[in-house]
Amino acid sequence: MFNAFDPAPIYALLGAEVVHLPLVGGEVSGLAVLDLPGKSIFDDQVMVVEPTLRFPTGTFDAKRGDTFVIDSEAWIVADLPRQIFDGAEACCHVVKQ
Amino acid sequence: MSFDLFAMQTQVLAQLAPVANGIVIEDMFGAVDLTDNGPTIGAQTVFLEFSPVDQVARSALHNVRWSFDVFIDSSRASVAEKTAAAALFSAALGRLVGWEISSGREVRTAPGQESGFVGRFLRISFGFIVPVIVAG
Repeated sequence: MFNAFDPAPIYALLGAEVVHLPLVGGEVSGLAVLDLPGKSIFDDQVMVVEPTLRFPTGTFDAKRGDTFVIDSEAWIVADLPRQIFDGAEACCHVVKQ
Repeated sequence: MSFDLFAMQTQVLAQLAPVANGIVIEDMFGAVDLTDNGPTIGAQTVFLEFSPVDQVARSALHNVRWSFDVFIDSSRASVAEKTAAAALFSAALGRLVGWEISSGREVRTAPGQESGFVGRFLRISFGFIVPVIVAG
């Protein structure tokens, strides 16, 4: 059978220390991956960056509107985090405050 | 009469400049910058099509259709910026409709590009037609 996926080694390698400030509850620290992919939309009329935050769900229980502090900058969770693979990780769009 | 697309673009941008109010209006060669450290709203005018309408002897009437598009980063834009974007859209419409780009040639509205969201980014668009007579 399959073993449960442990994402910890990935975050140890690629992650940055972040602080999660939920709208409800106390702050939590841990490792997450902030991705800043640039892309063009509307038939290449507009250049944008859509930052996403990928994090282990065992560490963070993020909800829309929560804040993550990364390198002293606050990022707001812009949508409902969606589960990745077996749910050991999740990903959401974030917007710099 | 000949037709110069790029000269027309220059005329259109000059007509729109007084209502830009600090918002960058890109020409068809540019790209609107809404990256995270850039502005939250932008605009662009784009050539869409050149279509024949009528012809008498060697004089052919054509429609040159353009779009005027306003883009908004709905997550980062403040209420004031969203209001400014809407104001630009309305003001641009007012500047272009009925504008006599040259004697006897008046601009009129037409379908633009599709308005809507891609993620958090909104495009609102209207189209306009500039009549052109090309003589062979």
